[in-house]
Amino acid sequence: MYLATRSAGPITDGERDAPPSAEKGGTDRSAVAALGLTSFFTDISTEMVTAVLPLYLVLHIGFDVADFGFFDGALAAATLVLLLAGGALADRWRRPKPVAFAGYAMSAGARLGLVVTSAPILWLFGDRIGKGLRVAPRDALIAHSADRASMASAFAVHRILDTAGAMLGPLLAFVVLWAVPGDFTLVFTISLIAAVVGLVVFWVGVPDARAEGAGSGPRLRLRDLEARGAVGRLSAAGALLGGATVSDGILYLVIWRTGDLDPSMFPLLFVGSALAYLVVAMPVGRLADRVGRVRLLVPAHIPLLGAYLVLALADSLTTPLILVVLMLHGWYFAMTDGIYAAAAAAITPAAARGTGIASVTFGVAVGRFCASAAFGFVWLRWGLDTALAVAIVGLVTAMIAARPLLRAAMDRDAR
Amino acid sequence: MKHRWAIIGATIVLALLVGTGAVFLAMERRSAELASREVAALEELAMVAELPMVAEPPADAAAPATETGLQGRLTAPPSSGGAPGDGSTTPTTTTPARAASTATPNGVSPAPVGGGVFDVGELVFVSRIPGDDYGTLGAIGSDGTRRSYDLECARAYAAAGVLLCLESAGMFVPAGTATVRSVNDETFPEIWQRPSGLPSRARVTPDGSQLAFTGFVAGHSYLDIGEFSTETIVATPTTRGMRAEHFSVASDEPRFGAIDGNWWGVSFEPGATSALLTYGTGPSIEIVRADLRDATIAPLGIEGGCPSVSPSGRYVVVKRPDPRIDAPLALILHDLETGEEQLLNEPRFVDDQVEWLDDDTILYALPRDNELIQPVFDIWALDIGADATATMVVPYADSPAVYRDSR
Repeated sequence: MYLATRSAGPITDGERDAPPSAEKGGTDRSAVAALGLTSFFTDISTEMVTAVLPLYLVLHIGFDVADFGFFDGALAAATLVLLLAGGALADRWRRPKPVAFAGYAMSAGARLGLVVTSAPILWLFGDRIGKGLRVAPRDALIAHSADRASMASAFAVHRILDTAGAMLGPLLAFVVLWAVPGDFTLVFTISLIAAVVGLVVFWVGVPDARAEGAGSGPRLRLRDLEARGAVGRLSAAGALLGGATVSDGILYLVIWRTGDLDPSMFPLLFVGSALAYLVVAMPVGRLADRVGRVRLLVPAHIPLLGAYLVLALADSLTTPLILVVLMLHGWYFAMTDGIYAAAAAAITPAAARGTGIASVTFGVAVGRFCASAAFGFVWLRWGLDTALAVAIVGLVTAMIAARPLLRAAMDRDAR
Repeated sequence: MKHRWAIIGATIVLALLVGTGAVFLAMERRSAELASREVAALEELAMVAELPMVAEPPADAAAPATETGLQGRLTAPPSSGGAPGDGSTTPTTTTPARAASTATPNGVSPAPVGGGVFDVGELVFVSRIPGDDYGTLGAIGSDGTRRSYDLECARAYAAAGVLLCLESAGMFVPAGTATVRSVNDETFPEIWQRPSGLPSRARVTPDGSQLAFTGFVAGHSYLDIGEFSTETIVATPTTRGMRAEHFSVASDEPRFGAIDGNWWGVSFEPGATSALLTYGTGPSIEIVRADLRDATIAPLGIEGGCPSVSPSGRYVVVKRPDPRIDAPLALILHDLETGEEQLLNEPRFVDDQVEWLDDDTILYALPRDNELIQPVFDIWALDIGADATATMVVPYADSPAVYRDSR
């Protein structure tokens, strides 16, 4: 079998701190496909519920929406903490698969809870905690399954399937509600079925990393390794660049307010970005593998800068201009979304990958969270023009400041 | 693990089968449920049809039913040529500033006097019989027979050869359309259409010269939770009209400049040159008067919302919270001449703009059940006398409109 061809011996002292370039055998396409399909079905499941949950809360539960927003925010913070925990656990147990599986199982359990008890709080808890837990070990599994020379391509395959699932989920939810109006339990049931399929695909299709040598040998901790500095600086650069990046939700709000857009078109903005993303994700992944994942991170923000400039300078946001903004935004996502994870995986020794990926993902997420809050504050306080100007200046500054931070990571990436 | 992709493939196929099966089962269950509700509704309607279509049996057997019975009043031809009860003070020939000309955008004109599918005095409504007819236009004739038309309206109003039909765009967006149609024949040819919000209120003047409608453009939808925003259009059969918020307000009071100000629920006054409507900002809700000739609005100092002016123009029924009533809003009869007010005896929550059957009786719809899908509404009648009680006059119906024609 394929896996048997991989080196399973203990890592020698000499290579234990080297980037995992010594791995041979090419990419385990089957494992990457299974990981992608897992995310595809899990995202269908999640987004089906996310799309209808506000409607459900208002119609059936009489839930206070302000409370819902508060819980949502608090849980987003909890997700970030669990992201670090998931990465650390995967490294400590040297087995990312069970940790990621536990995360997926929690999300599936949350659907079951929603079907049986109709309690949205339970859903939020289970789903967000599960998501936080599984992200880093799952990305570590993708990295383990990929040949180092095609790391970013493997992540691109995974993220494409992930995004496709996120697009399909709401569509499926509305088809179900169209066929049987008002039957939210049916939506939750279909969501549960999709989550279970994701679990099965993951359990059956993804080999445990222990068999791949990543988990064997002496226990390695990132903080004891030479790679620590590069990973730390990459995380800092991610936070810096992320700190100049408003969330897609806010960007769509800017488009909606600036352009004369019908509110019913609002969900289509997401579809526009996602389509642009899907088209370029694979070529961008290949390009990243050729020129170096880390090296691509600063240029990745040029499309975003372009989108900001169009929004700031356009007198009136016509439909073609909206499409340009969405396209640039989709490209920006293609150049960062899987690339950060691929970059972190490429510069971290296999046994510490969970921690490395979690650290970089955490940095970017915290940065983006702060950016959205700051942008919203400036927008409300001093107006949209000021907010966009601040965002542009901030982004250019971050791009310049991130370069020296990325140098160490770039060296390891090229090794 | 040799066959892992076979197992994965089998799982996906199984999930597709189970998922599709679950949807079809739910569809079956839903249509069976609707069918049984429809059967129950039709049985109940058949029972009602065997009774005389008079809500209150005439107390005096000698009195002819057509005079005292509600159904008789429903279909009795209006005196003095329609709604303006005291025709002496209301010149029926008054032409408002933006009155209807005969030319309409696509060559369709309102039905001529005495023509068309509705007779004067008939009650036009939206059917709330569960099943396929749910949400279609209906009418009830002088003999009490119920007619149904192949036209869907969430809310409708008809007068003087014109039908105003509001439709909802779907269940996920706070949007809809308002369509002005001729009642010439049962195809209800379209005169014009424009986008609106979620259907709320509709009115046409008895002379067919003016019409107005209100839709929710935010709130009532998941897109804008916590917001409430209405759009009210005053138009004519030939022009697509203007928004109430573009009327100039003849008042310096700061509340009329409020950023959260909303206009809704137009009710025309006799003569079709003025109308009452609601202005709300924050918790304050009041009735204002719009002059349609110069598009100005003046405050009236009447607290409340969703007015409905009586055919004579003397009274207006408004909705406002009242400590004597548990429901969030009570129906208050306000005398526009004396300013006297009287609480109407309806303890239930009327989420409707009431309609006047004649100068003594109002009509409104009330929900019968809490069904999420195809909830049942009934039309009730209430005398404006102090100790009257409401009676159900048309079961399984909503959006009452007494067809008038004063042309």
